[in-house]
Amino acid sequence: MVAGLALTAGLVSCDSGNMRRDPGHVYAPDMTYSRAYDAYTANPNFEDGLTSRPPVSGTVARGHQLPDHLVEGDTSAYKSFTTSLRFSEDEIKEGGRLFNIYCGICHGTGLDGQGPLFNSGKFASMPANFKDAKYLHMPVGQMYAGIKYGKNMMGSYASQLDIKQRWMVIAYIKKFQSENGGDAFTFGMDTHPAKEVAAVEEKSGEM
Amino acid sequence: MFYSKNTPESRASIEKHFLENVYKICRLCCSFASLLYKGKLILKFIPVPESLKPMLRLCFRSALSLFILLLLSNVSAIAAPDGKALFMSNCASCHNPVKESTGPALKGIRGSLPGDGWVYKWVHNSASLIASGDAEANRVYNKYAKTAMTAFPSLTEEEIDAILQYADDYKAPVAATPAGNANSGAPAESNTWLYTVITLSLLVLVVILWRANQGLKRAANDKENIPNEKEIPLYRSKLVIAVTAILIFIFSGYWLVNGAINEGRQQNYQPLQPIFYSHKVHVGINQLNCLYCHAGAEKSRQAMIPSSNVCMNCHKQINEYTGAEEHPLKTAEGKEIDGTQQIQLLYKYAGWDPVKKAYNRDEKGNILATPIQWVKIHNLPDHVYFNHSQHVKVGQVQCQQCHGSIEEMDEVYQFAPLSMGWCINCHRQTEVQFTNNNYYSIFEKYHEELESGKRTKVTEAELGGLECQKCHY
Repeated sequence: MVAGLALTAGLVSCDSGNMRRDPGHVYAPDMTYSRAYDAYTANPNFEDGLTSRPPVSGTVARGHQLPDHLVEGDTSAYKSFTTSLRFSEDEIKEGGRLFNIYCGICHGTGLDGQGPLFNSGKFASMPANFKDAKYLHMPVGQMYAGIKYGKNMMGSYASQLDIKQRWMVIAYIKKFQSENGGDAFTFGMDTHPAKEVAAVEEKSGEM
Repeated sequence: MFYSKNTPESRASIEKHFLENVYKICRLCCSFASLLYKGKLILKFIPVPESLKPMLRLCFRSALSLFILLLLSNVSAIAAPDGKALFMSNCASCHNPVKESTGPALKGIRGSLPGDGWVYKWVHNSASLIASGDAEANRVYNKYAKTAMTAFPSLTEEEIDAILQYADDYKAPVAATPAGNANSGAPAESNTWLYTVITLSLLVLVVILWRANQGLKRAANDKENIPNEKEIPLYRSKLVIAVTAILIFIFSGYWLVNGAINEGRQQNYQPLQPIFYSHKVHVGINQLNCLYCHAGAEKSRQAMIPSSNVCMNCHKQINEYTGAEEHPLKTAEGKEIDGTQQIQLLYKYAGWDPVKKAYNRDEKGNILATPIQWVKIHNLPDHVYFNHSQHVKVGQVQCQQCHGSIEEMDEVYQFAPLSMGWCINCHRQTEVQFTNNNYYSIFEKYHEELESGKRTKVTEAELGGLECQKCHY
């Protein structure tokens, strides 16, 4: 009887811990583990041990936008920087979706700087309120630099948003601002792009 | 007007404030008038002992003075600049009353500033104050990474005082407690133990009763001289041996087959991670979108494990875990975790100096960061191809369908078995979002059939989702 109890106790204790810290064995290791380097496997061929590499300097991935040649400190150059991209209604809607995912958490889905992280008191400083006079007339290039490099407490979003997505988000903000006292919206399909910006002469390796 | 920063917000806020105050005063007047009236009535019509009358009068008088005081305080509230509104529209993007941010915390800062209207000069034009060689101005400028403070020449001295007063009076908001989640960490202890003990004792009882019954029967037979069958011990009984053998065969077979099938599967795998990162805190409580960190899920095969710069987007500011009371962090083993300590650990990986509020850099300017070596949880064998963008972007599958309620997991575990049967089952049953989806525009026959009403839906299996080489190649 004691043995029976002990056995049951053993079975029950095995059963209760459903979680496992140990991945267990595999049946065919040579078919399970990739011999080729995968995106996140350690790579002894590089000094930093990472397999994922930044794009080779001077190259542009197929289907991607040409990068700009400005660098982080070029504040005044960025103020006059813009894009020749023009967006359809759907793309602006997509910009709104992206804004809500990547920006809304701080700037608020109402674009008023009242995101959940600020409202709950976790943030020390208030994220930009796009309805505020300070931002209503902000040049798009300055916004672009803000997304690419970050500004003050805001970090860089270059690793999350590719170039076209950044401009889609900016188009969404500008469209919103144009309806709330800002400048006229100029990124719609119906407005002709300004003269091609000479931003493509030198291509840095950055995205 | 008493506000000079003519933003719609500050105006709206002040107007609201004003109206609220007017309303309050009206309400107070009315209630006080009715009180006085009632009081007089009481004194007049109800016989009050003479001895009590002076006391009642005193009561009314003090009520009157209180009323006047309240009125005055409200009036002064209307006349004074609204520090909160001014702070929110002018200062809040760089300053917090109680936390260091781009600029210093403002609560109690008045005490540490030089006198003689230094603060007014600083706010009106900090750059010229710095250029004039003022020691304090240069110290502040250098301390906060030489970030120039925007000049606010339009703020009056009174308004600056109001802002600083607001900062001094500021009390940090208490984070809203998520409703009644405090006990969800420890699921109610199951009653398995109780049931096991009861079942076992009942079994023992049955055996004892059976044996007793047998014994009594034998005794009765002996008494009546009926010959008893020869008693065979249980372990030699053919029936018992046969039943035991069959049971052992069935159970061991089940165990063996099940074990072989589950070999290499890792459902419920929950590895210890280098940093105790709680998805529940980030996604569940703080409402981050999955894609914020796993931006690759829409674009590539990998969902992407965020690099530490993504963490630092928020954690430059959030340097402590403040939710320890509402949601204490615990490992699956029940070990308590200090969230703030885990954020410090992140700073070490990211190369961030929380005191200087800057990244540590080498002489070339590269940030001295080391990658966080997260332990991969969902391991598909190399001979299976899986692409996140195909499922998330094209198929519009929700993350939770395969990963479970991530927003409720402190430590993530593998929710789905990730077996082939599980994949195939979903491919058979799931209706593909077929219309308004460019990706499937080439399937003309299906589109025609859908339009003519011949079919109501298209499943992934009908698009070739069961073919071997779709995933194995």
